[in-house]
This record gives sequence, C-alpha cells and structure tokens, in this order.
Amino acid sequence: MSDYLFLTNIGDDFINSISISKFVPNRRIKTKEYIEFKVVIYTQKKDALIWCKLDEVYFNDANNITLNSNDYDLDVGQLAVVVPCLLDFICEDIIMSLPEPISRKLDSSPVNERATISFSRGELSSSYQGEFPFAMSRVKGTFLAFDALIGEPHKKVSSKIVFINIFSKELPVKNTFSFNVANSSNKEIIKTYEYVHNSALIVDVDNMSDLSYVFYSKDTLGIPIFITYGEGEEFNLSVEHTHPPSELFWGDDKFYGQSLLKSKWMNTLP
Amino acid sequence: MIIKKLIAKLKPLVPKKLKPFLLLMPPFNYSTPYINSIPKFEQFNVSDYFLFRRDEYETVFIAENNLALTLASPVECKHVFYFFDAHGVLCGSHKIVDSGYHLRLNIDNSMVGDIKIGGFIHQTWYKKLFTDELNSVSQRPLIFQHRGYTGFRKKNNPSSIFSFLHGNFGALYIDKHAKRSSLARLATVHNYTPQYILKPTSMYEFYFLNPVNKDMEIIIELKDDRSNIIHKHATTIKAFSHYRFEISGSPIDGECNITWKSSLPICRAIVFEATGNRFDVFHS
Repeated sequence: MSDYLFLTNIGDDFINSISISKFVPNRRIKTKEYIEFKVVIYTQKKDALIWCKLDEVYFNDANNITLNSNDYDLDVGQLAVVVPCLLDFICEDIIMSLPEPISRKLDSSPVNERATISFSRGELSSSYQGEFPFAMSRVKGTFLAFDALIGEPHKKVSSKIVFINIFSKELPVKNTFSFNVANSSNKEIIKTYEYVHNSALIVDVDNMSDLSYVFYSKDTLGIPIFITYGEGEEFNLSVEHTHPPSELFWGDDKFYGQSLLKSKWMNTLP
Repeated sequence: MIIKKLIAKLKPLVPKKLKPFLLLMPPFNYSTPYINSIPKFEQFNVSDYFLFRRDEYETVFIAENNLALTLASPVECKHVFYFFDAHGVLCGSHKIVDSGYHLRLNIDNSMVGDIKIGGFIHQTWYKKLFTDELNSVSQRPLIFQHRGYTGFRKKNNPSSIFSFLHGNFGALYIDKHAKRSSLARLATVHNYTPQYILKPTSMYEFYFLNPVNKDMEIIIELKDDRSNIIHKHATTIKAFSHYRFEISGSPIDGECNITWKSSLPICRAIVFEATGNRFDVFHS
C-alpha cells in the first residue's frame, strides 16, 4: 500500500507544512536504507475536474524535503496533493487522475508511509505523522468520527476540524456533498456543510457547548484532523487525527466491526 | 534472490488451513508484530501501551466506550486503568463506571501514587445483558481494542490546552489470572526512522515503551545531513518498562534525522519537542 501526503490552506493565519525523508520509514536491517524519489505536487480547484502541477521537488543531496502551504497560492480549503514518484516518472502539467504514489515499503516490515504533517500559527506549532492512503483515494465510501479530540469548554479556545478528501480517479463531474455535525445523543443534525472531492473542508466547532458531537458524511470518506488553539501567549496548539472506527476492534474482524458500527450510526442519523 | 524465489515457490504449497499461521512466520514473514493465538476468556480486550507524565507535565486520557460506540447508544461500562512505573511494575489502578461514549480521566496521585512517569493500559468490562445485545446483532465475535487519546499540558501553564496524541502500539491485556500479558512479540531486528527533522534549537524527549514480556535492546542513532552517524546510544529496555532518550543542544549542530534499531517489528516512540515553554507531542 502506498500513500499520498497533502498540504492545505486552512486560513486564520495557519501554515501547513510537511516533512518527508528519503530514509525508509521501517525496514529490516539488511534492506537498503533509503530510496531515491521525488515529490510532485498537484492541486485541483474547487470547480475544476483537472489536476494542475504546482511543483516538482527533488531531494538533491539532502535527506529531507519540507514543503509549506504558504509557498503555493492556495485558496482557503484548496488541497495540494503531494505524490511521491520515481525520479524518472514524467509528471504532466495537466492531468485528469492522480498518479499512484510509489511505495516506500521495501520489505514486510509493518509501516504507514507517512510524513510529518504540521500546522503552525505564529510561534506555535503542532504535528502528527500522517498520510492519505492511495487505497482510500480509489473509493467513495462514507465517513464517521466522534468528538474525542474536541477540548473542554474554554472561552479563549477554538477548535477546527479539517476534513481531507482525496479522490484520485478521473471525475466526470464535480458533485456537492454534505458533511454533517450531529448531536450524538439524540442524533439530530446541528449543522451541515457542503464540500467537493479533492478539497479540505474547514469546520469551526463550538467547543463551549455541552453537547457531544458525531461528524459524518454519507457521501464520501475522508480523514479528519482536529486542531485546537487559543488566543494568547499561554496557549499551546494541539493537532491530531482520530482513529478510524476499525481501530476500536482487534484482529481479522476489525473491518466487520467497523461496518457494524457504521451501519448502526448511519441508520439512525438523518 | 534464490531464497526469495524458493519462498515464493513454497507459499502455494502451504496447506490452506495452516496458511493464517505459517505465512506469518519465517521464512515467509520476519516482521509479524503480534502473536497469532488469542486467549479465550470472556470479554478479552486489548490496549495500547500509553504514557503518563506527572513531572513537569500533567496528563489526561480520553477513553473510548467501545460497546456504546458500536451500538450507537450509551452503555454502562466499567473502565479499569492499570498504571506501571518506569520498571514496568504495577503502581496503581483505577476503576470507574460510565455510560458515555468517551470518558475523560485526569491522571492524579490517587491513581499512580508518587510515580512521575510511567505507562498504563485501559481495560473494559460490560454486564452480560449488554454483551448479549452485541451478540444479537454481530455475526462474528468482536474483540475490543483500546487506542484512546492521551493529552499533555505543562503544569506551570494550567490555563493552556492539552496537546493530544492517539495510542501507538501495544495489544496488552490483563488475563484471567489478573496478570498483565501482551500479544506483541519481538522478531528480527528492524530499523525505524520517523519522517521527522530534529532541529538544534529544540529539546527532545523520546519515550520508548516496551510492550512485550521480554527485555528489548535498542540502538538509537542520530544522523547529520550527510548521513554520518553523529551520536549513537545503546540500551536495554526491561519487559513492560519504558526508556527516556533526551537530545538537547549538543550533539546537534544542524538539522538531523533519528533512527533506531530494535527487535520490535514496529517500534514507535512518543516524542516531546520543547522550545522554551512551548511544546509539541506526537508519536513517531
């Protein structure tokens, strides 16, 4: 399995960065230490069906590449997909579907082919090791996440969900989808947001409420990044993604468990 | 190459019934992170091995009520947390009954005594009427896994927010004899390199929690931008204990990468990066 990485502009003076190294993330000691590749950055505007190449970045003699969202002219919510490619891969300027990222897994060592994904605001920065699996970009799917990472009520603190959605196949048309925020107790919708394929939806969450939330889309899958931050020097920044529901289960039946859980929620949510 | 071809030829010859076991073992796979046999006792559930800090940090844990989340309805759950000191010895436990989808636990002295830094696991127990409800809708026996979210905050900045990271690795559990056990296993030596650049302006703490019932050797290396090893450190992490590796100032002059060798097929660390009074925490 191989993975895309991504950059986006979430507004509110945030800068999104990724760092990736040429070292193989996990390997047995006899497997070679690093792989030669480059990264190509493609973006798709909100109303467009084509992907435009923004950049093509090489390691040259360095061990690491760092990319920043403010190096590219991204609108708020616009997604730039970072594709690890072989050095001789020809990257067209305009494409209809995203190339498959190379795998950085060289043996049977278990690993997610990640990068450090950071969000910074002023002097504060927070990061996680993340990716968007290629396999997820091939299916439409559904999405369900809970509010475990929404902080305690605090007047000076804000919380955002950045919902990343990548669909790598060619799109015949750009449909509009719904992302819902619902009360997890009575299952009633509190607010609905519209989004499209290949975008980053930014949702500001009311963290002064006592309600517990469930976030879902019956239209597509996606990865939610939860960002919590405060106004003032004393505040830290927190960035993390929630586990997919399959991680609530162990072993061979984890995806059966996820399917059961999702059907329970999706059948009761409007 | 010859061995690889031989293994590929052998694979189809493995009897179908034995495939789930044999194909996870050498020579077919040298990197299986967990043992394949699962203990058979009622409500067996596994947990990642989490870190708590009560030194200059405070810690909260967001525990998931797996059955309530699965049934999309509040369910009474007995959450039990087991805390272990730096040597992996039990230093406290805490039980709480709650029906919510998530439980927020502030880890304090009443749970861990005077221990400043250690590991912990999360176990759950449900009344029979609730597990019967699950069994009536599930056609397969489901095993719950606790991967929760740990939040850290500087003690001297109590008005700030907690910085969270999700569970990392583990598969620990308390067995029917009330003994701590684990499905995690050691295998051949692996080399793990987080996709992370270390900066000379920050201080780093790497916490390695050993989730297996055996001592584990680890060799940590720092590499400069020309891939020269500029620092190397080897240690043994006792069974179920943790090890803290600190980098501050020297030996880093410029940006560098960190890598470590161990016999855990996937050996992740919890990383604290501090710059002045600000910090970031993440898993590698």
